[in-house]
Amino acid sequence: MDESPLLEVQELGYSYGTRAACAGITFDLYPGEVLAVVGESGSGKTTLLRCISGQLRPDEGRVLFQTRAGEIADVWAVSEASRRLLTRTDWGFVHQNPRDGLRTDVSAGANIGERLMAIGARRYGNIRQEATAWMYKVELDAARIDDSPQAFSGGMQQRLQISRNLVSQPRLAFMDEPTAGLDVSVQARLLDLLRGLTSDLGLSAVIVTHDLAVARLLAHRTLVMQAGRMVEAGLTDQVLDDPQHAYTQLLVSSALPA
Amino acid sequence: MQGGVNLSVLDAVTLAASAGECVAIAGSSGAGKSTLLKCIYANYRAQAGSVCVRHRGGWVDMARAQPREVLDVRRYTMGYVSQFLRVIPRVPALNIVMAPLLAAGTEPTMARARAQTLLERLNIPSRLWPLPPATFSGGEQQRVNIARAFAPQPPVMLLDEPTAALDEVNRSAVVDLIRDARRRGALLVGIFHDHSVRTAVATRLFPLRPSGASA
Repeated sequence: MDESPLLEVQELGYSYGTRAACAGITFDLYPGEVLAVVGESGSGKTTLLRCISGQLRPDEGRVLFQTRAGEIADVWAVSEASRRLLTRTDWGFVHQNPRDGLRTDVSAGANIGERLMAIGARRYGNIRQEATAWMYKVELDAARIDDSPQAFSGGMQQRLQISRNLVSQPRLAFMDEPTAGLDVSVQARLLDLLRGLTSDLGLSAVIVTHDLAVARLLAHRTLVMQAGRMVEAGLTDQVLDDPQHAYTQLLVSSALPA
Repeated sequence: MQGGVNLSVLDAVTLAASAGECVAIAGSSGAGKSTLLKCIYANYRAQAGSVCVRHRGGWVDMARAQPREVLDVRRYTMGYVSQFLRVIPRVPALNIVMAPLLAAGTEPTMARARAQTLLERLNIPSRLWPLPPATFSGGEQQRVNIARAFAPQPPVMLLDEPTAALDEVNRSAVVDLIRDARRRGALLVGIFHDHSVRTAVATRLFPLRPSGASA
C-alpha cells in the first residue's frame, strides 16, 4: 500500500489547432492497476493515450513514469532515445487497428519474436518456442507461425498484435479499444488473458474503450471523458453503479445489458 | 484484527457492529437496505457521514478512502455477496472461486483445495467445476457467487439476499457457512428476506425505515 505510482499524469492537455482534444487531465496509476478510459468517440480518449505513451507530444502538462530501475522519468523531457527505449522495454502499445501495430512484411512468429530480440533474446529456439506459446495463449493456430499476418483475419491480427506486445513482459500496457471487432468468444478469452496478466504478472494497463462491460470486467478504476475533459473518475463499480455526472449517467443508461 | 463497523449513512443511520455478530438489516422494500450494504462496501459513496472498518490494524473510512485503499479493504478485509454473479465469460466456476484467494496471495494448490471444499459444501456437482457458470441455473450461479465470497474468509462479510434463489437444502448449506464464519470471528451484515434463514443466522436485527421517516 505504500508503493509509489507507476505513472503520473499531471494537467495534461493537447489541442488540434484551436480545438482542445484533451485538457486538464490528471490521474495516477499504481503497479498492477488497470484503468479504463471511457467516453464517446471524439471525446479525446485516443489523443490522451497517445500523449501518455510517448507518441504525441502534449501541449501542456507532464507524464511521469517510474522505470524498472526505480527512477522517475519525465516522459516528454527525456531524450528521444530514452523514450524509444521505454516503448520497447517497459511499455506495450496495442493499437485499435492491428495493422498499425504489426509488421506485415515478416511472419507472425517474427512479429512476436522481434520484441524479444529487441530486449536481448538471441537463441532462435527459445524465441520460436516463446512465440508458439503466445500464439497458443491467444488461441492462434501455432501451425500458422510462419504465415504472414496479412493472411490473418482482423480478429487474428488483433490477437497477434497483443501477443507481440505482451511477450516481452512490459510493466505497462496501453490499449486502444483492444477488443473492438473481435468475436465474442475471442473477446472473452482475451479479457481472461488480460485479467490473468494483470493479476499474475502485475501488469498495469490503461485501456481505452467505449464498451462499459469491458471496463467493468477488467478495470479497477474508470475515467470518464467528455469533450476532452475528465468528467468523472473513480472505482469502476462506483462509476458504473452510482454515476454522479450527468454524462456518465447517460452513458451507463445507454449501454445495452449484457 | 477482526472487524467492527461503525457507520452513519442514509438518513443519519448509525450502526456499530463487532466481530462475531451477524446483523440482519430489516425493513420494507425501498427502505434502503441494499443501499446501506452498498455504502458499506463503497460501491455507492455515502454523501454524508462515515463508514469505518478495521483494516490492517487501523480504521479506513470507506466513504472517503482512495480507490486503492478501498480495493485493499475488499481484497483482505471485506467480502460481498451480490444478488447476481458478474464474471468474465469462459472462466471456469472453480477458477472464479479461486480468484479472490489467489489475489490475496494464497498458494494455488491451497486455493484450489479451498475452492473445491466450498463448491462441495454448496452442492455444486464436480462435473460443473470446469465449466463457466453462464449456462448454470440461477441457483447454481448464486452458489458459485457465495463460494467465491466465502473462499478468502474475510473478517467482514456483506450479504445481499444470499439465499434468494436457493432451495431448502442449499439454504441450509448457506446457513452453515454463515454460522461457521461467525464462529471463527467474522462480522456479517446481511439482508435476509427468508424468515427461517434470518432466525437461524442473525444475532440481532437492525431495523431500517424509509428515508424521510424519523429514525
